[in-house]
Amino acid sequence: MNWLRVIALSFLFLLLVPILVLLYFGLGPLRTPVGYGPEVFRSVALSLVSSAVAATVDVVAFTPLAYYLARNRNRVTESLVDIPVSIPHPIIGVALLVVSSPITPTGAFLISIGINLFNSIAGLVIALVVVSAPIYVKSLQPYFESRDPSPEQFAMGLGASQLRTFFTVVLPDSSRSVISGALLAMSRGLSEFGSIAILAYYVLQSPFYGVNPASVLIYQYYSYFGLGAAVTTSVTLIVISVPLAMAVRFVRRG
Amino acid sequence: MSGFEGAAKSNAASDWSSAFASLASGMVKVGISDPNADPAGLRGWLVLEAAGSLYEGNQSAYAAPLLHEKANVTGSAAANMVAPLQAGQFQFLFTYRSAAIAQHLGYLQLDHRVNLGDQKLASSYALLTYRLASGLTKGAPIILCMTVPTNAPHASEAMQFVQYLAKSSGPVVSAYGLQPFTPPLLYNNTAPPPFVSQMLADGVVAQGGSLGP
Repeated sequence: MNWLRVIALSFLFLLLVPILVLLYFGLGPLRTPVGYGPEVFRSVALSLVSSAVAATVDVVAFTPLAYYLARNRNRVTESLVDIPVSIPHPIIGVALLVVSSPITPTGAFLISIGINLFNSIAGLVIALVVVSAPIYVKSLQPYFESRDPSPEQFAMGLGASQLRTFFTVVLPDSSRSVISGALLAMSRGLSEFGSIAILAYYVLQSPFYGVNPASVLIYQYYSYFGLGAAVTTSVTLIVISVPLAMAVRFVRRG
Repeated sequence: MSGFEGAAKSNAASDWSSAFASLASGMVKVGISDPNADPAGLRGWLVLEAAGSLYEGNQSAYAAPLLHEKANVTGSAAANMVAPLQAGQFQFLFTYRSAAIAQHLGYLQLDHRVNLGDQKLASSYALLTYRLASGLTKGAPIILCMTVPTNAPHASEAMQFVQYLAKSSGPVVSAYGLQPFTPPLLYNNTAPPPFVSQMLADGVVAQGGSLGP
């Protein structure tokens, strides 16, 4: 008997029990049509699109940071990266609300250039970027650390800058890890609630006018329409997000 | 805002008309909570309809342009929209006067034919309609009620609280802009519990009628 395996799998099972119970009740005794109605699918579509856009922003903006931290260990910078995930996420929502408030200089500036974060797709995406970027960086940094640095040293030995080395030597054969990190960031975005409940409870822009992000919709159903609606909507979101989580593994393993 | 303040001061229909037209013009953002989730949001839309009906002879006179201009900002509950209002994300919020007082917000006193606050105007409020997800809803005076649930875990303390409010709530609720019935009214469809019957017998509360839509 492999006791390590028994203990590990037992606790994994315990971890999954709430989800399994939810699936059972959502697909069975508590199944409520509103939980898989058009409003839910519009909401899930909004969450998928905004999470995908946020993950794309993570890739474009934060891949260099993951590489930089891997090759230039700096505890202060690494601690700064951790801040958005180590504070309660409603704080992120309140902070972005203040940043975009017309009564603050930052908000006045954003509005003057046509950027509105409150109840907008841009606000939703930015909140998701803030909460998912640290996850993305932390998932990608170990990959860069584990890479054989010889090709990079060779390129820099020929006179290439670290930035050029990053783009021409490192990135081209890092696509699998980058995609895996992006999917992980997207999963994180899909599950976000605290910040977006404050900043983008609804989106008031086409093509998602009047649509809640999925996690917010579940909370709204829980608050106003009862357990059945909340459980069924939760199951709908789980059915959509679990394949995403599995895709992370498949991409990573190749 | 100044248009509304002027209208509130003069109470002239033309001033109110002009103020509501500005409100619905898209020049300002107006917070109205989700009417399906929050009664305050439903009342917000009904108030706009009442104002349209009273000042323009058309219930949609203000609600329609507000929607057309996408000038309405929504949220799950009016209470959750106070912080973004204070942050300047929108300029007006439809909520109860009691909530505005409790939150120390500046507020405008609307005409009683518009504000759904006059029980004597129940029949004219009933001409207003709004379609919720659950169906068509008619306007009605806003009346706050309280009850003790059958299985309340602290029923005895809850009943004492009801007695306290029934006997001495006037100044407490008036401080928040509410207009208490004097005496308080009992609305019921079943026999009231003994302590309420006693208050009825003592004249502390009066019979209000039956519960129901």
